[in-house]
Amino acid sequence: MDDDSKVLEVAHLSTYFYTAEGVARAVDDVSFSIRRAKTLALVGESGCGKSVTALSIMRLVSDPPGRIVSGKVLLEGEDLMLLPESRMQSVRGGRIGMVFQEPMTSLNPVFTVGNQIMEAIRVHENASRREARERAIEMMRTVHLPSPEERIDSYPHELSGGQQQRVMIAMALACKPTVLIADEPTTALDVTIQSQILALLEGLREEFRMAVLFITHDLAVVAETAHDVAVMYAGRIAETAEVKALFRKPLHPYTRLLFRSIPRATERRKRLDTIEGQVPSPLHFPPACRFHPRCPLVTERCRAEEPQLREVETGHFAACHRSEEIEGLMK
Amino acid sequence: MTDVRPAHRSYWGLVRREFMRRPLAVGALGAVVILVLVAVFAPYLADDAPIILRHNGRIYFPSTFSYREFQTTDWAQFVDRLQVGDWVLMPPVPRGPGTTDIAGFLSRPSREHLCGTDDLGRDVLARMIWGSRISLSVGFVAVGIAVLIGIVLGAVAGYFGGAIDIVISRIIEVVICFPVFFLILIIIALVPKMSIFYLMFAIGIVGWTGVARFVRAEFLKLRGQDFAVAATALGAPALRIIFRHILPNAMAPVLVSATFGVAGAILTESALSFLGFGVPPPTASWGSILSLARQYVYEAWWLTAFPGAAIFMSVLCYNLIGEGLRDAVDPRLKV
Amino acid sequence: MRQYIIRRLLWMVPTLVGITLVTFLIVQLAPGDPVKLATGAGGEALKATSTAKQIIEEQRRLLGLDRPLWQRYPVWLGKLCVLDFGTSFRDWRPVRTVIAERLPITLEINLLSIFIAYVISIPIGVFSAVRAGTVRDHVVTVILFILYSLPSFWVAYILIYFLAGGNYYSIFPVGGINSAGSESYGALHWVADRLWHISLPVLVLTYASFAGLSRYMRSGMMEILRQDYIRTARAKGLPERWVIYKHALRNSVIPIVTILAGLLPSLIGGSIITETIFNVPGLGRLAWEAVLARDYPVIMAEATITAVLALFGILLSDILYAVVDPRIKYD
Repeated sequence: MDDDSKVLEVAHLSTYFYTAEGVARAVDDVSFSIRRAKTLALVGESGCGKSVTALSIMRLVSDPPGRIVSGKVLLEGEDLMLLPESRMQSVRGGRIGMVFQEPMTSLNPVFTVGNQIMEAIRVHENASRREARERAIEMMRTVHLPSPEERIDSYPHELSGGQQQRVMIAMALACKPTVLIADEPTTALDVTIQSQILALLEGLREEFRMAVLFITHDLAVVAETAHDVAVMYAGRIAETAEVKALFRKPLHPYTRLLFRSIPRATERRKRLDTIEGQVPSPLHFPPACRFHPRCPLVTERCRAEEPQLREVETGHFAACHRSEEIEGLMK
Repeated sequence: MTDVRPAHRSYWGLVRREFMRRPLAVGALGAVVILVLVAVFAPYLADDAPIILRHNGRIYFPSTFSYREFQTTDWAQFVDRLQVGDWVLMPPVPRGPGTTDIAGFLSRPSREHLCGTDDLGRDVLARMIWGSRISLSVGFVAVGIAVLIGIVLGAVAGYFGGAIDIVISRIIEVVICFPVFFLILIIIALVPKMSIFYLMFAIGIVGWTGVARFVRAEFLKLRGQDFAVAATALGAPALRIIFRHILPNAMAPVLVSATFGVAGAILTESALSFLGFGVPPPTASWGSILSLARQYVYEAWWLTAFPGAAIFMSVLCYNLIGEGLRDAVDPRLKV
Repeated sequence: MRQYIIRRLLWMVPTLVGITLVTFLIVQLAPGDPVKLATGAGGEALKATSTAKQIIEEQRRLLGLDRPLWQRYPVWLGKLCVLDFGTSFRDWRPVRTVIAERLPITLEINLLSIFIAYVISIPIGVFSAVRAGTVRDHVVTVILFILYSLPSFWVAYILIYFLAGGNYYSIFPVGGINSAGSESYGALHWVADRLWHISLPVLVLTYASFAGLSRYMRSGMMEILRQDYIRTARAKGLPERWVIYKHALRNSVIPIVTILAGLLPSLIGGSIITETIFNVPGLGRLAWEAVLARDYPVIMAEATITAVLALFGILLSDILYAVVDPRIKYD
């Protein structure tokens, strides 16, 4: 990744939640970057901290109980963590758009979809009602919503799941932001709709030249849409690389186990592979390497010393003591 | 080392733990316990009869037992004129709720009468202590009646559904339409001679609708759920399904409702006594002392202040407990 | 929608029948011959006069005492439909007249009280919810809780003691709704005099409902602030003011508006204690006087009216719900 094309750079971001049961280190020293007009997939199981990372970038973490304790988020060189709230508000929606997982609950049920899209336009740009309405219709057309001139006055509950998600996308992109954060945008949708939405996002990325942070737990989606991948586990980045490199030769045992657990239609197996153990709770992360209780390659060193994210091969980073040997040890 | 998870607790254990985490609610519970004790031990706290009496070499317990030789004794005079060798242990407030002192009527709070006296010279503090019996018993019994009716009707409606449900739901609707206080007034108006039992009955019989709706909703919801269907498939009789499986789930909101219900019942009883429709004189009730205050508002502020404060504190405590319970059983508040 | 209303009205019929049946039976069950009861002590002498005889006969006919029980009910029902509630036992006037006399003042104080309660409680609820968990919120919550637990008759007397004619301030009159001789006041003077008189009763009526309403508003608002669409609104870069007063508020008024309709019956029966204490000649005080005097026609008339109002209040509530929430459609 060359430097001048890094649109969004996250450096040592940490977000903790202070609860009655203790401190949950949901995001712990996370670093990655996204290139212009490219997609970075942030992968991990539920509870690994992906969504909190996205919310932290947008500074939407509820405080209390959560707090961004450290780190930098550079949007085209400017550190978002240092901005006053009023300026951050113009960044949200204006320069970074966000799409959420559940479109039904993410849209306000008492306002029309047109109202909500127009709102996004009018808060960032000085558009009149008529202009905003026209742009909203145009945006709805861009996301392939049928009959936008009528649909614009519909309420969210009158639309299907796929249509609602398109509205969300229209809202997020209405001001042509530089970055799009998509937090599991297709997880709540039917499989057939999923591919349509993915295709739509792909097309929009190209058309608007946006950098996309795509959060998902679905490796198939990663293979299809991502240029770069970051694998997250227990609040930390386990591995990050370009997509082909990651798929060809994963350097972290967790990544390898993830791949292994995907059932393949061509294989004839009696049992599905799973990863032993359970995802740890953010309140009680294991000491040293957070993955060591479940790792097939665990050694004494893993139990004692926390591995840092390091460049094992060019452009391919992993946080594991045994990355160099992993090719020979694990399938 | 794998991660540590808290050991699995029973539902009520969890509820209790959550409740304990709220100091206000726990404090309120303590206050209520004290109140109950006051009500139960009223004769030992405020009475003109001694707790223990040593007279002519024999020991008596006039507060507890009724003795033939003392049936017509005027205890106040008796105690004044104790003989040598006699010994008394008096209750802290050495006056009963009915002990009159006509000469000392409407006197201000003093060392002798910590809360003053009313228009018949009766000690207000003594009447308040005994009044707690009325408030608490009406509160508990009325709510008990309401909860019982509510559970039965709600369970039957929710479990059997169909026509039974429709009929019961209509009944619930009819009762709900009448403003509670009004309905109670009507019942009281019908009663030939007011007594505490009619009071409990009246308050209880109008207050069951909330519980009934809860329970009915629970039953409707749980009837179709897997464990109920499984139980039926295993041949369990309807009643057992009701009691062992469905009811425990519905109990939590019922308990919350019951707690608020007691607060409401205490308020209602006080209001009724205040309006002149409560327990008949000379029984002491906080509300009836307050109704005296109507005539003597300016002259005798203690008639307003103390019983009112007592009602307020009791209601406050029950509301606090209810809130604490409600938060404790709220599934959303658990991590 | 029209069909829905018609359907609901039909469903209400059995409940209406139930209500009237209940009130009918209660009158019949009233101990003693109601007519004898009313004529009571002075009855013997009174009975001799021809007017009294006429009235007694009238009463007998009205209550259908000259017919068997099962025939009396339709007669009663018929009379109800034309708002003929019979004659008051106390002063021999038609109940309808008595109620009509007292209705305006009760409506006046209750409507005023509800209005004030709503106007104050909405901002307080919002204020508290937005600052949930802070010191200010805690203070407000505690105050509301205490207000909510105060018995109204106690508060009334405390107010009277301190503010009305006692040893302290004498700002307000102790009772009544207008000063003596107020008929000769000019219009403005009369209004001011009336307001002066009803201040304390309205205050007593309002504080409890305002406390309850504020708590309700607060918890409703807190619930809404947790919703996904609030997060979306922030992610669009909307200023916090917009998020709360446009997105959140609009949703939070839904339950509040529907409660309004449920307050319909309390317009009549909610002020019994207050009217009695402050000597306000309204329906509440009428109820108290009627119960004291065992004036059954009046009691039952008030009960029936209130119950029917409550039933319609429920229907109104549901209709309002559909008006205010676009998700609700009845067909």
